[in-house]
Amino acid sequence: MIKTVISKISIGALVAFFFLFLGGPFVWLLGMSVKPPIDILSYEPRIFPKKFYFQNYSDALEKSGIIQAFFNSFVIATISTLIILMLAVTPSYFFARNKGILTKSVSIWILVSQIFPLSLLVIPIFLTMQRLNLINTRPGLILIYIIINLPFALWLLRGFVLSIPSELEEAAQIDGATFTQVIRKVIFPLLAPGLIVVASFTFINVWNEFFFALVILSDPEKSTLPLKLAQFLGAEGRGLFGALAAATTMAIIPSLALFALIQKRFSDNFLAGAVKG
Amino acid sequence: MSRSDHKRRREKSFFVREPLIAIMAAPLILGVLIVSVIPTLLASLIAFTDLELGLNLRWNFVGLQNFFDAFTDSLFLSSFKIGSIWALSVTILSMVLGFALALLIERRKWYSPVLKILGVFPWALSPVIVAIIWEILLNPNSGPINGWLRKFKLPGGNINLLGDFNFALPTVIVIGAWIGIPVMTVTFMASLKTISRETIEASFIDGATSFQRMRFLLIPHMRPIITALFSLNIIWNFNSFGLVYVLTSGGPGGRTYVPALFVYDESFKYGHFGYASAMGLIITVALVVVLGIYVFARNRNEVEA
Amino acid sequence: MTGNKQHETGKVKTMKKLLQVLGKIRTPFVAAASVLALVLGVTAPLQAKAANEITFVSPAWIPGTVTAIKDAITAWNKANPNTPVKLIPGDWDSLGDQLTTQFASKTAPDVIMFDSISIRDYAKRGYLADLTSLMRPLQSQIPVGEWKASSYNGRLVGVPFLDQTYVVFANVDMFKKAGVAIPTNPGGITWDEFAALAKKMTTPTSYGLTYGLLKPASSFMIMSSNFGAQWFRGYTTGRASLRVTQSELEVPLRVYDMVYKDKSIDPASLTISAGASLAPFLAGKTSMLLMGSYAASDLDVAAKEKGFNWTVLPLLKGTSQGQGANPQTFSINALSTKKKDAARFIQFLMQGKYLSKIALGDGLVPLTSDALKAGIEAKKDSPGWSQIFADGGNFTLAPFAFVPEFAQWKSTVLQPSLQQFIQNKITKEELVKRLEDGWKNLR
Repeated sequence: MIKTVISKISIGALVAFFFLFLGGPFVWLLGMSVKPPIDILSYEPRIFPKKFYFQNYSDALEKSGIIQAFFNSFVIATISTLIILMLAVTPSYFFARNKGILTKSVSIWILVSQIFPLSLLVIPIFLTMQRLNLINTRPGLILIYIIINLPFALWLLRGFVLSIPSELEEAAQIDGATFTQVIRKVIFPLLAPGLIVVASFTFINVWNEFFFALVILSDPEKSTLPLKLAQFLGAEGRGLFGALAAATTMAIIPSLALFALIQKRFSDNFLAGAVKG
Repeated sequence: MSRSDHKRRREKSFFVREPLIAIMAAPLILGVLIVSVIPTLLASLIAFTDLELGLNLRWNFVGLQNFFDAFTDSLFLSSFKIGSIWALSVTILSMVLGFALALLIERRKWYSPVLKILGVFPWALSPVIVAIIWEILLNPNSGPINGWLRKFKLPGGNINLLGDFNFALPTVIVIGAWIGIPVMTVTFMASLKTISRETIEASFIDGATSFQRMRFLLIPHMRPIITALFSLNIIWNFNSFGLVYVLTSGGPGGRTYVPALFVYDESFKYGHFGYASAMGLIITVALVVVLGIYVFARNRNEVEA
Repeated sequence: MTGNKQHETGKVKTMKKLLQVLGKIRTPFVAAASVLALVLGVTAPLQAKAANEITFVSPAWIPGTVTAIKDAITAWNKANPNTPVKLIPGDWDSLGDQLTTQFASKTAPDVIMFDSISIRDYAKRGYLADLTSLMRPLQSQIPVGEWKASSYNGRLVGVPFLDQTYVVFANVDMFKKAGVAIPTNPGGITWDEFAALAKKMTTPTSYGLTYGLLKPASSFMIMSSNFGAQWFRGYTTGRASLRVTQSELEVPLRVYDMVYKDKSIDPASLTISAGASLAPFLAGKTSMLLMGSYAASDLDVAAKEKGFNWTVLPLLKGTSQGQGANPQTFSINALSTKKKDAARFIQFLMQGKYLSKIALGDGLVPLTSDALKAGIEAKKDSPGWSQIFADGGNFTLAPFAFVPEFAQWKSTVLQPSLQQFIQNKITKEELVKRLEDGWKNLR
């Protein structure tokens, strides 16, 4: 009896902790978005101000180009993700199935190259981009995102393919399925959840990426969302926090909607056998 | 067909009989090699020079000088220590929390859908924004966290946790774990779903406690994904500096100066590209060695198990 | 054998299947991707750079400042339709990275707004144009110390236009209640008088002074000119040498004493940044605040919204009232093809009517006499602002301005060491040792 009570309390505590730990910052962000500037500096913190100050939202929207930046971020992230998915499927399948030494070492090489700090590669990548005349172009940025994210996508997708027993393909072939049918009816359905996971990771990485967007794009019209949000900030830890909070809140809503969509897919028991190292 | 024919057929797995796949894959793999591996190799070569950033790039080959300098640079060495603490703590903390969260969600109680959304919420924010929100939460004057600490008369109420010599690193680690939870939760949730309901029900019937269930059923099943996730995260976290950069710039007094930040400062802020590349190479090799040992040991255990 | 034959027909089948597969799975993706890529690729050239456009990157973010800059640009574009200026917003924290990469790849903008310490490195690497003759018309209006601080090897690399002083803000109502008079000596108040005042204003319920000491390096360095601190010597011939003597240590030591001996500085200040130090002052936790003058713009807001009554003490004096110059500057890209027009634009932007508004927006002191006059006029009803503007002539040249490696030493050695000293983790002797050794071992 006591055991149940204890476990119920501890589970309750755990749930409460997560509510607070994960949700707290979000609630605070909401509160910030409706606080007038003077309140944000105030000494006694309250979650929500006495009087709601919605001007932060209009300030945020007025900030030149934030909607354009949102659009840019979305397009760039979507295209990068789609292309990466397209490009990653076949090689990851190859890496998963081919047990040769050559393939194994190549895949290890690719993984190791990911360990090398990115900040050291920035300038060589940048100089290359410049030679290709892709500086300050959104397609150039997409190319960079593909370059940065493809190896990891390969690695992850390879893991998913590995969890699909190769016997399935053989069985299907023995049963007389054509190549295309095997892909469509056997592999693809089982790989779909993996593709979704890879797509989510990639999309988020590109959506939130700041550094390369910062150095590649110099036209304000081409800016991505993280860049625009940074412009609410000043030096020495000052900034237009109210407007920034409002802008961030608005930016989160579509991201969350996207996740909700993906989450729905997750709940279907598509994921049987989907995840394995 | 004879038995040997069967065997040959099985050995030539599906994919080998379709050279198609190799043909389609090869150019892409080559592309990835060219674009990913080769620049890294080139950048590694810079480690043996004294390249400095400037309008007129001049460099000399200096052999292992940069490496000697790095190993005698106390700042670099201490950053290694801090980086290890940082990477391990963030990875382990976010894994534990992510696992707990995944379990809670899988219980399909009333709180599960809420936790599901909360669990991925940190993903929706760019690291810079996360840093700002937490900075504001941790503001010693107007932040709720200090307000709470003061209310309950706990230590740390009147100081800036991010600016305190003792609390800075733990605080930053907690925030790093906060960011890392979605990845863990999502992956663990997916992995949990692969355990058939029957097996779980069976363990209930057998009278196993939740703890036993966790230890003997769940964790062994998820071992491969735990290993993979752990390795990848150690790498990611060791190399991440965006969060630390915004929150503390490596301070106070260098208490949160992680190696990736060091490399970035040396290369970008001060332009010592040769030196920075040497450090990058050292970091890479160290990580490869450590992870290699870890994965090797794990695989061994799996085989024996 | 059966196996081989199957394999051979396999090759023919392969090609067919290739097309099949491409047709079935790839097409939707490929189509979608190419359409979108096309759309992007097509719309991009529509924003092609006008041939004579002058690009101008500015990290200004305070609404008042941004408006002033935009107004100036609009006026310029109207008067100079053949050489329009395009504003590229940046942000202070990432501008350095952006410029570093852009300079390295020769894609940096024409006009760059930044600060004199940050551009030093770019000057060293040859990225910035020599502005000495281009900006000569403005030279007479700008304090000599500022001009020199923005030069490298004797050549002007950035036109200084704004600078800040570190001032002591005072809560008028709290002083009134305590019955203590706020000093108004135009010659400034000495550090001793200041320490005494802080002690007097420290009561059991409130400390005398808030001073955000999380990152003390900047304020300590700049105020060290109060005591004629040199820090670096021999910088004109090769690598400078660093010597930390009593004059260099005056400011850190005095602040240390105020924290630990007098206990007149709120200990909470030790771990908060300058930006965060405004809140306790506004909340009445202390009666004084030592901060960069830029807080004035926030204090104005507080005055309007909460009736906060503030003013500024006379400028602190050591052996002099000098404070090291670290101005915001306008530079021109060495590779720019429109240097003359860019220079004309900068001078246009620095006219009194625009520069004074920029200064007021940021809460900083404008550096041309015209703008200073305009600013004083605009704020003559505010004693606090008047004091800030009156202090404008005290910028002196600090030697660290000439030392390119200063920025690196400052963030890797000076800042952590000062943090440890002020938080009482190392002694004064240890501090000196770390500073000097750190400089010697610098790459």
